[in-house]
Amino acid sequence: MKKHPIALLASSLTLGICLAACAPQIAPTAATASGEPAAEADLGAVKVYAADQAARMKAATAALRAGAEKYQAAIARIKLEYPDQNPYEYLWSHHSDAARALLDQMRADWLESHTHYELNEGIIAGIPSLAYYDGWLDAGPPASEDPEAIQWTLILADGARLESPGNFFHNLTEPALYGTVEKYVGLPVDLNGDGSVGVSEALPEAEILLASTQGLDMAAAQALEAVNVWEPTLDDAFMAMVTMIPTMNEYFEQWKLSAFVSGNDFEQTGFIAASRLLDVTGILKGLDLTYDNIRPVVGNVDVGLDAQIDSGFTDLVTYVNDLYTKERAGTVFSPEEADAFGTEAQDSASALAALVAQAAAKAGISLDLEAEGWSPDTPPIIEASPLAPAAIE
Amino acid sequence: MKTPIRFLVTGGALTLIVLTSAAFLLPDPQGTGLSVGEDIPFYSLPWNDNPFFPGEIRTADGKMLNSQNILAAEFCAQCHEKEYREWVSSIHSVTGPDILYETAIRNNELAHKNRLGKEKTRWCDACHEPVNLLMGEINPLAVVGPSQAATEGTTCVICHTAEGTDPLAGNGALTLDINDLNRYNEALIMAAPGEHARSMQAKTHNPLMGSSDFCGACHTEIRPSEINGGQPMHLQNTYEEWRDSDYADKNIQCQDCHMHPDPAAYISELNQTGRIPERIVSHRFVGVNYLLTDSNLPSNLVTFLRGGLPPGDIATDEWKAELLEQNRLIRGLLQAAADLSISAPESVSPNSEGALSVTISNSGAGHSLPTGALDQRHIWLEVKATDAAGKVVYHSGWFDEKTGQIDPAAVIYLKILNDVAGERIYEHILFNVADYTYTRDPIPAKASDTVDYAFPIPPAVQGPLTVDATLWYRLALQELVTYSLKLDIVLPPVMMEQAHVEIPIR
Repeated sequence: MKKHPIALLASSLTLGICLAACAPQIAPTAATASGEPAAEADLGAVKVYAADQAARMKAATAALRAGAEKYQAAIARIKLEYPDQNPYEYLWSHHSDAARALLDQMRADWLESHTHYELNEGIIAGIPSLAYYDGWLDAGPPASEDPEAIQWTLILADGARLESPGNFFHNLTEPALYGTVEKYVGLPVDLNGDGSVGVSEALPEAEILLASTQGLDMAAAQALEAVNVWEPTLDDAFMAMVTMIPTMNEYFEQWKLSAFVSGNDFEQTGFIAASRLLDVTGILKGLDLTYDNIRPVVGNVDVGLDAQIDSGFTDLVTYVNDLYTKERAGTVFSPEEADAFGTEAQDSASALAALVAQAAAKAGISLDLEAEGWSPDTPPIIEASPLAPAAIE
Repeated sequence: MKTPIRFLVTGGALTLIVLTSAAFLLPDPQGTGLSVGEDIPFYSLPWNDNPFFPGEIRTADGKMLNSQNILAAEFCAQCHEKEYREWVSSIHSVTGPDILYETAIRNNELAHKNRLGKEKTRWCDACHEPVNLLMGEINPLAVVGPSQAATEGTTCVICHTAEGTDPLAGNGALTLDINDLNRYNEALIMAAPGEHARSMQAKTHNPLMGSSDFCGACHTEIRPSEINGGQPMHLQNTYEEWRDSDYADKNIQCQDCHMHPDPAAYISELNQTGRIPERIVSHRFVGVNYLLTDSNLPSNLVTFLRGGLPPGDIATDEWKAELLEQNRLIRGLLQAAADLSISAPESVSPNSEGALSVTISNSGAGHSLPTGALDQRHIWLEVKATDAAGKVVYHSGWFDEKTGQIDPAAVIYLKILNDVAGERIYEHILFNVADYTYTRDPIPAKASDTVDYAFPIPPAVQGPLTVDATLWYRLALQELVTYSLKLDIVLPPVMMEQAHVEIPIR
């Protein structure tokens, strides 16, 4: 039969409409269950990791405390022997090598303790029963910036009281050791011997250094104890990830305002010893490790989702590590670049956190949206305890 | 029947049969919206099943947006470049990222920390960050992914999918038919642009788009009881102010003026001729924010204040030029809104009391003057009398350019917010407001307010006495800039109107 062109056109149109109607629609993708046999999450490995990092942090804060006690004892001795002299000027003019060596060692100990905390922060800050220590050690603002700040008191050996002065690492010990807060400076000096006194070249004020490092060591001991008695659950692990993964913006903003990006125009008095990118890499490492140890739970309900999350972690960790590697190699990024990197990292982090939330839901995990973290019944009061005055050498 | 006709009829019949069959075979229409719980886990619903409450915004299907496929303005700009360029310099494009808003929302959330602070911000975000709210981002836990459109404030698809409004309910009371992304298929748009215009609620198809009722959805703000207990609290009434005005009686809608390419020219033509000018649409939405459009501010401040560079493909210098044009139109609108006149005696005598009155007429605004967030926005009168020797005889309403402070005794139009302890709230923490008072009531459309002044005339005064009256407008309190934004800048006012008289000394 010879087909008429109009009929052919009509038939083609019909076919076209049918094909168009059957074309895929834009719609949410449905995940599929894998049917793989159940595997066990290894929460013990997460606990071992967290306890190990907390113990290493505590060892380093003890060393830092010992150095600060030695430093304060030396200043006290000079005050006794030469009451008419500025003790810091005397120390620098008569014992500069010893003072420099001691300060270098204290800074190294600070970095060591802080690095181990950062490697743990993703876990500690994200778990309600431990999160108090994140605020006290590393992240809490002083009351002067936030009326809801953690309440605690630091009493110096000379009787001065600091009420809710913020966190130990970035509001107290780091500014004291690196001279970024004027009242925590004993004496600006040419530490590196280049003929000028630059950023972070200063002898610390001994009383604040002593009190804050002793307080840090005590807080680190309490944090270690809390981690040791912590019994991790899947709820904890997922909560830590969903809470901590999407915090990239904040860290990148602090990085942007720090000396690592803005040079001498920096606004942050903390984050001068180590780049905030170190913090980000540390947090992500802890979270990545956590996921690695619970991924069987996700893989059991959705293999595809598990692969997406794993890949998301890899991409985000690689992205931040690359930036940190470039920075350590000498690249100084502009504030605009820091902004752009932060936005990109935040987008990846938001997507990843959403996937983890999906995974938690599929795995039947309960995340308490209004969970209130543990905090002590009464605000801590920490009082400095000086050693007997002694010479530095 | 001839063969061609027979084939035609047969083909047509077959087509009809196939199409009818296909209609039964096709799956039900499925949007791209997501459901709380099923698709978006761990989404907090502390009050009811409406995921957007206490905001009043809704989606037609009751579902949330899928963050992965919300169209950003950049997509629309491919064809609507003019509209995109107008919008990108507007305040509507930064209702969310605007640093003043970001700061205020953080302050409010912190004020209700551990008291559903995050969820309560949905009340604000229904108008300020509608995409973020609709996709589920306003939640204590991050459970949805990112979206380019979420950084765009009130972006194209928010207004252009609206099919319903409740202007008296306010708080973002729009109903959006937004979860059918098939309407954004580029091939379908090109194939049927008329259908695209219809489905995107172009005003020729949907009268709502040209109606004040549409704007009222966000320009009515009522704090619900869930935020801080008590009765609902009316905080912004711009829509009702318009509804009760002559403008509403004359069918002059918000869009006629605020979406006119030059609102000041619109007001001038309306006042001079008494005829309603032709409606011409621009997407600049000219309002009063002279700060966030001032690209001449030093140190790239405008970029910071607007929360970053604009979305989409526009060169920075072109964007800044668009901002300056927007700024020019805003200043023109402010100056077209009011008239000022001084009523003074024919003469005054030395060593007597001078008396005069200043009248502010709301001659150009289709709502009260001022309007909006009146705990921050304010107008005030400055009156200065100077004798012929240059000696200042009287000065009320001075402005200190170094501190940003205004004469405490100035005649000012401002809403004073107080918390439950009776303490003044300076930083727009609406969550904590217990009550409020006006220092002077806003002036309704077409109404006027007369202020009497009296001051001593010195014995040695040299005539004539020159009296200058100035009506100033300022976007926010200096306290907000200093204490909330922590910016070391003085927020300058804008001159709205001036009047001048000379009074002989006899």
